[in-house]
Amino acid sequence: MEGLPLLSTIIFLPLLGAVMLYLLPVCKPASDSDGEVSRYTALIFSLMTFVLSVILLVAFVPEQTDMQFRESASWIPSFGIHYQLGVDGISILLVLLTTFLMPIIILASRSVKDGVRAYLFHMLALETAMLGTLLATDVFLFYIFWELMLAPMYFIIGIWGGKRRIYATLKFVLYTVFGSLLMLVAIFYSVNAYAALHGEYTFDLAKLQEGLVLSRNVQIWLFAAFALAFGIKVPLFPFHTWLPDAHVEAPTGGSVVLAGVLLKMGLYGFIRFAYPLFPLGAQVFGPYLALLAVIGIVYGALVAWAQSDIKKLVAYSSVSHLGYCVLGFVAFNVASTTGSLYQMLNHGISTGALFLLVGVLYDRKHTRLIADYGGLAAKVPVFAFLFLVFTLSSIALPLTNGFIGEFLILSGSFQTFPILTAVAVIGVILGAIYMLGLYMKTMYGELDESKNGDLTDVNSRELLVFTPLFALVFVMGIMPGPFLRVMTPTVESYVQNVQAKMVTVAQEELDYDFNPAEFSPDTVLSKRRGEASPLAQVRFEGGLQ
Amino acid sequence: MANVSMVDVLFALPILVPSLGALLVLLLDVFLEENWPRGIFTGVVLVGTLGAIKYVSDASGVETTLFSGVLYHDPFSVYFFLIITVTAALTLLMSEGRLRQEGIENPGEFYALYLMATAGAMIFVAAAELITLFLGLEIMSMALYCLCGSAVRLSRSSESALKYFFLGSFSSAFLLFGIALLYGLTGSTQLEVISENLVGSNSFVVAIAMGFLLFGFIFKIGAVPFHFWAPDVYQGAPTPVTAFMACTIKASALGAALRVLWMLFVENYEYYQIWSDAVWMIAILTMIIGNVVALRQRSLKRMLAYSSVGHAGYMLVAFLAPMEWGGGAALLYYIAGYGVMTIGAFGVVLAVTAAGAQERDGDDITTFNGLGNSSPVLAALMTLFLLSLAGLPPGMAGFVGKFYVFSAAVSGGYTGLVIVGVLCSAVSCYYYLRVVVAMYFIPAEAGAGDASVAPTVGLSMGSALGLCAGAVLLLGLFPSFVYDSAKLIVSGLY
Repeated sequence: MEGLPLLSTIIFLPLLGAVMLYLLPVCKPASDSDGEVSRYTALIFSLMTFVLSVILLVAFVPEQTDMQFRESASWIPSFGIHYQLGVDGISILLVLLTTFLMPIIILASRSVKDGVRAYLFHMLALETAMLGTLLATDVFLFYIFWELMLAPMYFIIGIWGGKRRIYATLKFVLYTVFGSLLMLVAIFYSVNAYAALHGEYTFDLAKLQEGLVLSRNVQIWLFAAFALAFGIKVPLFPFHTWLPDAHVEAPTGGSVVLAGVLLKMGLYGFIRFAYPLFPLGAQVFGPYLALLAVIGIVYGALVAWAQSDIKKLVAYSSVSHLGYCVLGFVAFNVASTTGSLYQMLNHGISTGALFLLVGVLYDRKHTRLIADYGGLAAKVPVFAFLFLVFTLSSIALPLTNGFIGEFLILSGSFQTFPILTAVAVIGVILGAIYMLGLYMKTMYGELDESKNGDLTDVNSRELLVFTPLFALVFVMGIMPGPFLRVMTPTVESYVQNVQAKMVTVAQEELDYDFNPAEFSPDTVLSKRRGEASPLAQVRFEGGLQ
Repeated sequence: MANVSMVDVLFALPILVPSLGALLVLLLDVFLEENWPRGIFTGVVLVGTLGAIKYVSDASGVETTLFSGVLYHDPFSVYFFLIITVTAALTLLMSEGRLRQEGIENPGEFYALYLMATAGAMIFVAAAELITLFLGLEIMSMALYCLCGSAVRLSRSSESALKYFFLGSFSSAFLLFGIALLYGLTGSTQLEVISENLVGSNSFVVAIAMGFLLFGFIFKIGAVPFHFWAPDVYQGAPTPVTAFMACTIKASALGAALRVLWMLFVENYEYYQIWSDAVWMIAILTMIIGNVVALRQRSLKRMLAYSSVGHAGYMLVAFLAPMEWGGGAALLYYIAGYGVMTIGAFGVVLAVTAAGAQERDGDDITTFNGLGNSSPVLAALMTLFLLSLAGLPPGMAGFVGKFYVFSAAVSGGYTGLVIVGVLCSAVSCYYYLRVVVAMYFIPAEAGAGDASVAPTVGLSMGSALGLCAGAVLLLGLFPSFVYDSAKLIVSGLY
C-alpha cells in the first residue's frame, strides 16, 4: 500500500475511464454503434473504483478519529493552497456509497439510447467530482470539486432529460451557483481573517478549524453564507424548488445520482465545514435549521402525498427524508449525528432504488402517472416485490435499514429539540401514508389489460441492478453494527470537539472583530514602510492570547 | 532627448519590430503579386516581436527608462508586451484565411494596421510620460478605427468604425485635457516628476484632472458609463478585429491605466480616497450593467461585448484592491486568463459564422443550435471557454482569476463589492450557459443558417483554439507560475 496514493487513485480513476471512452478505438461510435463496449468500459472503471474503495475501507482504522490516508502537495503556495486529501469516519461510508452506486447506475444506463458515450463520460466525470468533494481537506480544493459537480449534472439533465429539461437544468445550476459563490466570499473572508491573526495564508481545513477565532457576529454572517450554499444543495425548505424539477426531468441515472449522492453533499458540507469552522454561528442558527428541516419533513411529505406523478412523489419524499438527516445533524449529539450519517446512506440506497424502479416502469410504458398503472402485482410479481421492499425501507419499517437511521435520529434529536421532533414524527406517519398509497394504487386494484397487459417483469440485467441494493437494505437493517462502528469513534470526537468550541468560545466572548473595512491609506502606508499595520496590532491586542 | 544610444534602440525592439513590420507589409504590397502570403509574414513579424521581448526580458535586470525617460523598460512593460503580442498572434492565427469571408477586401492594409495597432498598444502601456502615452493611444486608436471599418462593403462595419471614431476622439480629447491640467499643475509630463510635484497641489484641480484621465482610460477599457460603444462596435467590426479589441486593446488600456493611476494618485494618499471611490462606483456599475444587459442579447458578438464589459468590472475590482495584497498581481493574472478565453470564444464564433451566412445577424444564438452534434470538438471547446468566462470549473483560468481578484478585494476590505461581483458572476452563468443550451440541448433545425452543416476548422483555426484551450486549463491548474511572477512585476510599481 505504501507509495500508492490511494485516495487520488480513487478520485481520478473514473476520470481516467471517462477519458478512455474517447481514446480507446473500440469505443468509437463506428465500431460500437449500440454503445455496448463503452458501457462495459465505464463499468469496468467504476467497478475498479469500487474495489479500491473497499480496500480503503478494509485498511481504514475506525479508532483513529482524525484524517487517514492523507496526501498533501503544495499547489498555489502564495495562498497556502494545497492539493490535500484525507478520509475519516464521516466521509468514508459516503465515499463507498458513491462508488457503490456508480456501477449500478452504469448498469442501468441501458435506457439511454443516444450518445451513450457522452452520457457515461459525464457520469464518470461526475463521480470524480463527487469523490473529490468528499475527500478534499483543503477548502479551495473542496470548492473546485464542489463546483465541478455542476457541469456534468447540467449536461446529464440537459441532454438526456425530459421535456422541460432546459428549464430544470438551468434552474439547478443557477440556484446552486448563487449559493456557492456567496460561500466563496465567506471562504475569502475566513482565510483573510486567519491571515490577519496568524500572518500566513492557508486554506488547510485543519489549520482553519484550529486557528480561526472569530467573534459571534462575524461567525453568524459567515455561517449564513455557508448555510445558504449547503442548504440549497440539501435542499432545505425554502430553497428546495429546484429539486423536483431536476428530478422529474433528469434521466433515471441522473435522478439516482442526484438523490443518492449529490444531495448529501449539502449536509456533508454542513458537517465538514460550516459547523467546525463557525461553531458560534452554528449555535445561533442550529434551532432555525432544525425548524426548516422539520418544515421540510412535513411539507415535503404533504406535497408528495398530493402528487400524481410517481417520480415527483419520490422527489418530494427526498425533500422530506433529507429533512430528517438535517434534523438529526443539527440536534448535534452523538446518536442523532450518527443516525443522520446512517440515514444518508439509507436514503441513497432506498431512494436510489425507487428511482431505478420508476425508470424500469417508464422505459416500458413511457408514463409516470400513477393513474396509468394499477394491479401490476399480478402482472409483474418480482417487480412488485422489489417495489414493496424499497417502499418499506423508505418508510423505515423495522428490520430494514431506514428504521435504524430514523430511530437514531429521532431518539437523538428528541434530547435537543423535543417539540420539533414530535412534529417531525408526523412526517413518518405521512411517509407511510403516501408511500403505501402509491404502492396500493399502482400494484393492487384492477389491471388495465389494454394499457398494461404487455408489461414484462424485470429482466435478469435489471435483477442484477437491484440485487445489491436489496441485500443492503436488510444487511444494514439487521446488522448496523459494522457500519456504525466505522463512524462512531469519529463522530464522537467530532461532536465533542465542536461542542467544546461552542462552549469555550462563548465563554471568552472575544471582544474584537476582524474588520477589513478599516483598510485605510494609513494601513497601506505603514505596510509599505515595513511597519506592522496599526490595524493588525489592534487585532492582536484585542483578545488572542 | 539629446543622445539616443544603441541600448535604447535595442530595448525598444519589441515596439520597433511590429512598427517596421507594418511599413514593410505596405511596401511589399506594392511590389509583390496580389496573393502574397501577408498573413504568414505578419505572423513572422509577431514571432520576431516575441523574440525581441525575450531579448529584452533577459536583459531587464536594471530598471530604467528608454530615450531619456520616454518609455519604461521594466518587467511590467515586458509582461504587457508579452500579453499584447501573444493575444495579437493568437487572433491573427485564428483569422488566417478568413478575412474574405469577413468582408475584408484589402488584406495588405488590414495587416499593416493590425501591426500598427499592436505597436501602439505597446507604447501606450510602456509610456513613462504623458505625451508618449497619448501618442501610443492615438497610434493604437487610429489603426483600430480603420480596422473596424475594414469590411468596406458591409454597412455595419462602417457604422462601427464611425461610432468608435467619434466617441473615441472625445475620449482622447478628455484624456489630453487631463494631461494638460497635470502639466499646468506640475510643469512636467514625466510620471515620476508629476507624482512628486502633485503633493500639495490644488486638490480640486487634481481631482478634475484625475477624472479626465479616468474618462480616457475607462473608455478604452470599456467600462460603464463609457461602454455604450462596445456592443455596436464589437458587433459591426469583423470578428478578428473584435477579438483583437476585446483582448489586446483592453489589456493594454488596463496596463496603462494601472500604471498611470497608481503612480500618480495612489502614491499621493490625499487623492487616494477620491480615486478609489470613483473606481468603486465604476466597478460596481460595470459589473451589474455588463452582466445584466448581456442576459437579453441574441447576437453572440453583442453578448460577448457585454460580457467583456462585465469582465472589465471584475478587473476594476482588482484595480481597487491594494497592490500589497495582491490586487495588481491578480489583475495581471486575470488579463492573461481573460485574454485566452475570450479569444477562444470569438474564435469559435468566427468559425461557426464563417461557415454559415455572411448576412446580417449571422451570429445569432440560433446559429449555434445543434453544434454539439455536428461539430462536437468545436462545441466542447466553446463550452470550456464559456465555463471559464463564467468562472466555473473545469474552466479553470476564469475561476482562478476570479479567485485571485475577489480574494485580494476581500483582504482590501471591499467585501461588499465582492458580494456584488459574485452575484453578477452568478447572473453571468445564465447567458453563458444559454449558448451551451443552444449547442447541446436544442437540435439544429433543418435549413440554412444553423450549424447543421459542420463548420470548417482549418489548421490555423484549430491550432489557435487548441492553444487557447490549453492555456485556459494550464493557467488554471498551475496559476502560481504566472501569479508569482506577476507579484514580483507589480512590486516594481510601488
